[in-house]
Amino acid sequence: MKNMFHLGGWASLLLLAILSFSSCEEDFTNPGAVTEAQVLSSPDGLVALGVGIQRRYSVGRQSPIYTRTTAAGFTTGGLRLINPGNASENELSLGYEDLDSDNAIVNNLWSQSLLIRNEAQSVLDNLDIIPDAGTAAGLQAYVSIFYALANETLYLFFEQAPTETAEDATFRDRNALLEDNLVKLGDAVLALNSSAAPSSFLSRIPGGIDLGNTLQALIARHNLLLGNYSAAITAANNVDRSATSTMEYDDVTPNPIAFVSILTNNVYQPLDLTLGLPASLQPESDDQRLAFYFQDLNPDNQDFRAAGFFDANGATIPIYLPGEMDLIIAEANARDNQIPAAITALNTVLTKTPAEDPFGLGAELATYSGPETQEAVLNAIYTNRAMELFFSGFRLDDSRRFNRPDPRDASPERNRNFYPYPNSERDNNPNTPDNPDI
Amino acid sequence: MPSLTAFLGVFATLCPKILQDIAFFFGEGYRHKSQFMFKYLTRYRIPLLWVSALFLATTLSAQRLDFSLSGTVTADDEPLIGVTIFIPSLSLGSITDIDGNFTLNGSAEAGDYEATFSYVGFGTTTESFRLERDGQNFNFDIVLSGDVLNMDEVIVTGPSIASSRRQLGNNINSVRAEQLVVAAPASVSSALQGKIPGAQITQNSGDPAGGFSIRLRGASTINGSSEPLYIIDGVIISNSTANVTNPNVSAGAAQPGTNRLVDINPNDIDRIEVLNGAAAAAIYGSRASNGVVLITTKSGQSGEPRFTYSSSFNVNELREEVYITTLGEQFGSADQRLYPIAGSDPNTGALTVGANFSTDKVPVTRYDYQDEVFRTGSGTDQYLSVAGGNSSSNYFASVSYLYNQGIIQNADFRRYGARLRYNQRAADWVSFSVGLNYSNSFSNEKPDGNVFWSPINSINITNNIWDITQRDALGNLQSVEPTRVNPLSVIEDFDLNQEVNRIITDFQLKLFPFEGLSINYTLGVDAFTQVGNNFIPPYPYAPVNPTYFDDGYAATVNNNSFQMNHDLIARFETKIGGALTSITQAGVTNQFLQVQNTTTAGRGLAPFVETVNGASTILDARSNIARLQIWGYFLQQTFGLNDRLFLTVAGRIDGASSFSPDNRSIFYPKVSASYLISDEGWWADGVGQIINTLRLRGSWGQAGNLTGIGAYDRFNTYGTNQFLGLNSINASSTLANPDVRPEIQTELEFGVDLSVLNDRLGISFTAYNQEIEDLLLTRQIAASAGGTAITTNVGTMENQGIEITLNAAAIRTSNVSWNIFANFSRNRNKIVDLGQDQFRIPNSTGAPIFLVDGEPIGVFFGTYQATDANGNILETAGGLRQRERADRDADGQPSGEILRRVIGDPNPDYILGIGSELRVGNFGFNFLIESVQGVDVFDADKRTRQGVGIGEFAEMELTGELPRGWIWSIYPVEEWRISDGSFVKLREAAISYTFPSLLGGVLENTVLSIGGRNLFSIDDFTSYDPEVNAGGQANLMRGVNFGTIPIPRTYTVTLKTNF
Repeated sequence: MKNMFHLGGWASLLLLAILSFSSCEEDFTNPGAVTEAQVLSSPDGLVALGVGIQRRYSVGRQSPIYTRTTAAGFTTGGLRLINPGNASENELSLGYEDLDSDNAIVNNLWSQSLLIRNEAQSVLDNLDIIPDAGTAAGLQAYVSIFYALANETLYLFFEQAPTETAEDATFRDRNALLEDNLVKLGDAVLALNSSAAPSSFLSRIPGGIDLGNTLQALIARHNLLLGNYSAAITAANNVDRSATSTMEYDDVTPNPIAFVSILTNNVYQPLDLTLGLPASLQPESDDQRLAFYFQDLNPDNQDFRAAGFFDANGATIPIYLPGEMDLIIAEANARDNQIPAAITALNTVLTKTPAEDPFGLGAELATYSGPETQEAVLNAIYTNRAMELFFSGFRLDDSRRFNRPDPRDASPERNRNFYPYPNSERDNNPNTPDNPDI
Repeated sequence: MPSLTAFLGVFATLCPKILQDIAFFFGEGYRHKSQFMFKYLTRYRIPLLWVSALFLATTLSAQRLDFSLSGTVTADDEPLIGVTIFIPSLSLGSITDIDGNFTLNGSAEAGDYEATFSYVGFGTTTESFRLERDGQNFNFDIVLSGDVLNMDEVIVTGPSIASSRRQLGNNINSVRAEQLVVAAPASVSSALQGKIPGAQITQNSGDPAGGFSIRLRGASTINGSSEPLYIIDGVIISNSTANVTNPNVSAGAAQPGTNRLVDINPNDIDRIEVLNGAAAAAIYGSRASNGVVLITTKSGQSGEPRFTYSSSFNVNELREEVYITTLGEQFGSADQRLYPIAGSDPNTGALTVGANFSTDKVPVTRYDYQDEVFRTGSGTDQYLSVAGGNSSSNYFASVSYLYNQGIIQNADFRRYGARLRYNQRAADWVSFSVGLNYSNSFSNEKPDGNVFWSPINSINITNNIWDITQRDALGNLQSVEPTRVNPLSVIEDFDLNQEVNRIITDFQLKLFPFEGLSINYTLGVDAFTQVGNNFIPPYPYAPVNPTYFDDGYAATVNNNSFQMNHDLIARFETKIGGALTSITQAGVTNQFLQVQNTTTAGRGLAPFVETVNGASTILDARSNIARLQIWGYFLQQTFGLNDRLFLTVAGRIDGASSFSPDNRSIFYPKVSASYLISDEGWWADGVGQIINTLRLRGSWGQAGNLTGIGAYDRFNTYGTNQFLGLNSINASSTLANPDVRPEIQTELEFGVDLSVLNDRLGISFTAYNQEIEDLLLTRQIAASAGGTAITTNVGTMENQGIEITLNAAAIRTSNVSWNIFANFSRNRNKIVDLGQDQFRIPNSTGAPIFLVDGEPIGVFFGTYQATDANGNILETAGGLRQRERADRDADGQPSGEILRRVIGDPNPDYILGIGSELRVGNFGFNFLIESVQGVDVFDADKRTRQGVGIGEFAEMELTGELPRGWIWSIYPVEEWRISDGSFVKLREAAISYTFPSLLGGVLENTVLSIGGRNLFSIDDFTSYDPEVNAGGQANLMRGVNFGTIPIPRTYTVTLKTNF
């Protein structure tokens, strides 16, 4: 028996066992992901990150597209909550102290905007590794748009915010966000003017985005909000009214407002044809934009549902509307007390037929016939912004900017002025300011 | 040969009881047809068997003198049946008969020999005799005294390491085969429930393929899993939970589904050792911080093939239905959705949630959908094993089949198993062993609770005014409440199933080069493929919520897991001189783990196609590969003085590829001591009259958690996403800390074991303190810092607790024996230095689960009921409820900021298990009660049922017992959904009868038993069953009920026989 199992044989088996330990220390990298250093040092990586930035801005229930529309709508009474089991939407609809620092939508508005801005900054910081100037310019313009939209989202809902990514970041007044945007957008315009984005770049980002017109539209929008009226008018006039610039969706990455709320009919729908506005400011019943934005103007049980850009998984959402440019011109003139010019611009919006608009969005109303006073014209502009820019997230800021009755008013038109800062920020950043009173 | 004999002698000294058992089979004993035989069939161990085989080989070649031993064994003046008489050096054994008499015939060389007399629950007695001439007879009358503490029981404590309990400084709990299978458990986890002090074993779901979670001494990590490490015959096995049947559910922190311990058949298990804490488990170093469960399977024996066949049949039923109102009315109109919490605008008629409540009632017809969804299920468990061998090799083989139906229609679980254990002596200093275990598990499932299209949740979320059984002319089910799913669609049309093919195999080589030295090499492999198929057909009705996949859904998920471990261990035992013994052990381990998970899914299915082939939209496809390498080295030194005072010192160094080279190698030290005072000579006559046995023990040790983070969590990675057909990359919102370190648990444990009342009552007491420092934690950070979370080391977690075990041999006579046992444990968990006050754990159930600084892990932190200065509930003027706020207005009503606090704790205050084993003649009666007290459960279903209008509170609003609007008013009070999850359950009960001989002696020890599991529960829970975890095996999401399938009551009939 001993011969059968020779000592040498067993010793070599033991040796084998020991050898199996020799390759002990190994390091593995994730074959299904890419490291930060790899992304930021590769032109293809930067372009893909740019596309990812649009995805973060536009896809999913946590995306700014969903949260800003939802938040502004509930806070200004334009939305109808269908199921209060949607706790965050329920708190928004109640507003006041019921909206607290733990609200998931408020937290998403905050954190997703900051993450988008941080990703966009990473791209902008590394543009110099892209050898092709046109691709670099195109990418700069592309990510600057979402950089600006992220800052704009913070501006619309919070009094203050950090303008730079940092540990214990310091907060600045919200106007600083838009000033930062104008610098980034201006740089992008210059870059794009010196080298146009080649089709080889444009084929690698989602279709629907018109870089040049979007930059001008955002410059117009943010100048208006900052009170730079002539700059706002100039930029708005630079925007081609026949062009469109949209965020696209498909069944895999569906339009989040449609997918989460409108099609499920389980979260919210628009309140009704009044848009939640007081009687004096409601859209006229023959306003053709109502038919654009509502599925049915006379539904059973007054069960109004949103249409327009929000009633299909694949429905595109515009980044800006041609009509918004005319309303910017109207408002800038009105605030500058140029009332006739304001009315002219306003009439462009009022009289536009659906066929004249690239989206088919037209009021097809008579020209403005109200008093030619600043107050009356601004009121008309407010109504038209609510109607034209339906579900676009501007209602809360408009309500403040047009001095509508605040939450402490006897008949309030909004249930918050600004949102509280999320606990995720306050618990981890000692520089977080006190929450706004309301 | 002399050195070998001496070596074996050492073993004999060390492990007398095991050798006795072995000898029983090698000697004449196995032919005795004792009714106790079956106990011994399950009591042998792999490595030592070989030693015995060696003995046979050596003795056969010697010159022989025939001899016999005879006599009587008694205890407390009663004869003892089935006492093992064993001559270790000859490997000869026998057992006593019904009168306590024994005879043992053998032949051996002339010389001095020792015979041992042992019996479970009694101390071992040794007698010596001198064999000088042929035909000698030796007569012994033995009186055994009790050893309820099982001080001489040999237990497995490490890879290929066994030692007697008396040597150990830790409390290690053992469960033997016959204790495991009392009430025909389907899984190892359920077999252990209530039997291990310090272990919280929870059946997370009543689905037959549902999971179990085991926590030893509380949670010991935050980021990783708190489940212990499982080792079967030296193979580190996977107990992972991979979600392959609900890939379309984003359940946050939840990990529902089957944990893979379910692939192990309890019938194959010989014994289980549970190492509760770091101090006991330090020998396992890096992966042992949650404790270790060591499973030893059955092994072969020398002799003719012996078969064991067992067959059981079981019936599962729902223990108790939830109250669903069938009151035939509702507010508003028959079309009013969510009538308790919604009304209609008086002008427009639009649905208004929380306003315009109607008080008009309309008649409706209500149904109880539970009648359609639940059923009484049945199952069977068939098991056949054979064991045999000769002097140089032996084998154990088994085949098994288990089928079990759930109490939800069309849900079941099936498992085929086959295993083989082959032991071979290759030379007198070499043996090896091969183990092979194959299993095939298949389950038909329904969506788990974390979605509203699961069986229970589709009941919860649907107003019950539709007849769900109605069909159109084509036989299609009809729409229920708009947007909801007809519960019968889930039952009849959904097809979710998964299949696992798994092989666990080991190769063990044992060398005994010279006296005192043994070298063991173990190669273990655990590999399985898991495939989940999911099919949700397009609903034949509308409108259904699109997020419920109204257009159909199909997905295939593949999960391939491979684990391999090499362990090489050397052990050297020697007498240093006089009474001092030294045992030195050194080892090296190398482990490799790889898991690949691939998902293909799509929606928008073509008619009749059940796979993703029919999808018009292919959803995000995923394939992830995780690879991990772990290696380590250890050295352990034990000194024993007079076999009663033991001191052990050990150290281990470990590393893993998941941590950076600078942070991975951690040293884990351990010290333990055990002192069996009652073995001192002066003890017996003094205090020993009262306290028969007394042992003090203590240990201190550290263990790590190298699997506390994922394989690549130390890298800042960017992920890709499908987006409009383009490459799209995003930064992970969870940042990485490249310098992250393994967390380290330090445990200090003290204990005392004593027996009193003439060794009839054994008491063990253990107190421990665990501190887990440098907690691995994915903690929240400010988004302005560039992410929303970071995986890093933050804070400390503490576990403090006690464990008490009682074992009482209440009656011990030849005809009646009654053992009572109880175990009690309490654990206090606390997180400190979290770095922030609290943060939320994401989940889909609405449960406000938080980590809160200074509180136990996973508490519920939320809004609560407003109360007045006296603590009474403060209602509004209209008698409605409201949340507490920071201030009071002029009317004394709450105003201002809404307040939150800890409103519930899912960690139990204490766990108590009480069991009894009574034998009267051939009858046996067993029961086990488990009580888990002081648990809070977040019962999400409770509120859902009220808001939808099918619950008891909705009925009370209808009848006017509660004011209209009451449910809406309490809706935001999260505290209202906290329910007392304490329970007392009859875990096991069985009555058995043993036929010593049937069919003229063909069948031996045939046992017929009738029993049950979870037969009743005493609790105040607001839904089905307080033993529930919607989060499945998730570490952070405990005690949540969200559409979870309740645990059934199970009746079993089992027939087991040997031939």
